[in-house]
Amino acid sequence: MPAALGSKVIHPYSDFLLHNVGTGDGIVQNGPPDTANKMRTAPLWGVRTSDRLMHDGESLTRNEAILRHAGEATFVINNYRSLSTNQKNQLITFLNSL
Amino acid sequence: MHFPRIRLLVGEVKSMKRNLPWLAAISFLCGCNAKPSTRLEQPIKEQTADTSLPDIGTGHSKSASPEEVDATLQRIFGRLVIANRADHSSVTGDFNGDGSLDLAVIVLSVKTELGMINGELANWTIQDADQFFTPPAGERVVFQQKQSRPSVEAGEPLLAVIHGFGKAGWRDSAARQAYLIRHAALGDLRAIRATGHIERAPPTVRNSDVIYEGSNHGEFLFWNGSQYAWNRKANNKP
Repeated sequence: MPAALGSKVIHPYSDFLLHNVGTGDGIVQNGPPDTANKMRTAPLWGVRTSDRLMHDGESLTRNEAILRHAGEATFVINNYRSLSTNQKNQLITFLNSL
Repeated sequence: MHFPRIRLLVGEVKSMKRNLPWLAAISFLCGCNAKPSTRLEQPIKEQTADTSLPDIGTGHSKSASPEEVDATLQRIFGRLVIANRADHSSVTGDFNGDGSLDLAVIVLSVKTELGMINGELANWTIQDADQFFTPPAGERVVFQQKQSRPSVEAGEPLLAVIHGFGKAGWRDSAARQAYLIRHAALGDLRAIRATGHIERAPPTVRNSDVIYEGSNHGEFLFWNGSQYAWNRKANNKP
């Protein structure tokens, strides 16, 4: 491993785990059948460069993409829903900085 | 003697409490992890294929009373929309195929609140059922770039769909994923199992319910995995 690449701390902003967030497409994710409706968390690193979001590119805004999360994400997304417009804007500004 | 220090701590705790929901949302969305090196993915247990869906709305009636509909709309949209009181203006079913009972109800937007309804950071998603093109079976098509975000017009009838959560479905207070759908409020709503109706849809959609409306025989509204769309009769089967 070249020194320029090895032993570096990176912040990909992903847990790289499989989650059922209600957007599964029925395609098994390199595992048993119960992974069919799970999606592996994509890194948010570089999300500022994406204008089409989620695995199918069907979400056009950050807010829309966040609201598409359900299932395991229900409670944390409900926390997002409880934010004020100003707080939501702060969060989205942060995402646009990654 | 220690009183000022204690007051300071109380102030810090209050400040932290105020910021907790915001921090929780950020940490989930961003996948923030204080100790990334110690968090490992759990091994996935082996199990046999099970494509069946769980029981829907255990212990709850499938039909929705007007009071329940009003309370649900209030919980999600506040006073921005009003439920249509005509017969068969609401229907329940598992429209997104996740095993929880969902609610679809025809509503009218309140004219004076259009700014809030169409807000870019609103807690619901506005969709246009006519914007999604279902390609004819057996033909190759090129999808057009998705159009811009639709907006609700004053007094426009809409189909509000609330996706359910858990066994209580749309009645659960955590069920807040909602859609306002344009060009999908014809009335006389009926929910029918999608099996046999949609041939080229993913399994989750195939096991869902579709919505028939009015005299629109042969055409039905279905969840395609990302939005509600009309399935035109001519496009459904080869």
